[in-house]
Amino acid sequence: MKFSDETLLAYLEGSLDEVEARAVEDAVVDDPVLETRLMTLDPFVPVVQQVFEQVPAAVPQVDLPEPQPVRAATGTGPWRLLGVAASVAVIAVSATVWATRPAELGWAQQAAIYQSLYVPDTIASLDRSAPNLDMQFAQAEAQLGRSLNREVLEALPGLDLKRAQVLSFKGKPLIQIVFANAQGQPFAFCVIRQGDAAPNKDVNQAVLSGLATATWAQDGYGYMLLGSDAQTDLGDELTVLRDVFTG
Amino acid sequence: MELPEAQRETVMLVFVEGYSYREAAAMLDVPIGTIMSRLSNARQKLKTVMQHDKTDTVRRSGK
Repeated sequence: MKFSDETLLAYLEGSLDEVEARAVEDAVVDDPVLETRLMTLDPFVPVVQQVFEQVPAAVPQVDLPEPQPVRAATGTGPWRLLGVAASVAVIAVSATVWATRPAELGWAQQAAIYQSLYVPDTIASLDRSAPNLDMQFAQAEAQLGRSLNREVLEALPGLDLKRAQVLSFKGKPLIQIVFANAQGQPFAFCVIRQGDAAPNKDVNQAVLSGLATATWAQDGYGYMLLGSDAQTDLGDELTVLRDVFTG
Repeated sequence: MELPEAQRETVMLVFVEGYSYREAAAMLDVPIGTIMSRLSNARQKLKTVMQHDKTDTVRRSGK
């Protein structure tokens, strides 16, 4: 089904009836282009972003800001009113969105953001001599309190083990093991010690920060496999690692 | 007026951090329809807040 910009704006405004709105939402599930159009047309994106550009990260805004133009609210009708209102409503919006308490990302999102910064040159010249890897794995396993099954990691087909690095997320040890695939592109496997109270979670595959990922949790540890890009097929590695890292 | 935590979290991911609906859905482990529904509800609340604030401003200025 095709939707006009007017229909999409009506959806964003909340003026479509329930059936029409559901039709848009159902269509977005299988249509990334429609999703992009909706996000581009959404008048609230620049309004909320304006709020976050003006409000300090940790200090609540007190004074009303100077009126500023709003990019997506230059038309007529309700959105014009919205645009005018937006310029004087920064305080109200920031209070509503609770601007001084940005949403916290979980360990997997943070790890994906970090890994997305890797390029082939990041790993091309790493010292992967046996003594160096011995030391890295000893440190990592001591922090985690469990084996990383290095022999399994070194035998993953098509991947060249490059480094095990100790990181931390909210005081919990987070180990990032980096590989290069056949094209020299970075590939990673992360393990975090979450604690005995952490629930087990089945494998969830998603694209995070532009990388194909698979995450799961078992017996107090969280695991994450990160591909080189959004299209990476993680199937083979996931099968092996899921078998080995079950507790 | 504050947004419920789930709506605020979704608004932050999509409007502020620029994640797509499906990326936000994956990150929050909910269906994409839930993301869109949360954003729709958040838009209505934000619109109400902004229109209310506009009315107050006009009233204070005596126009």
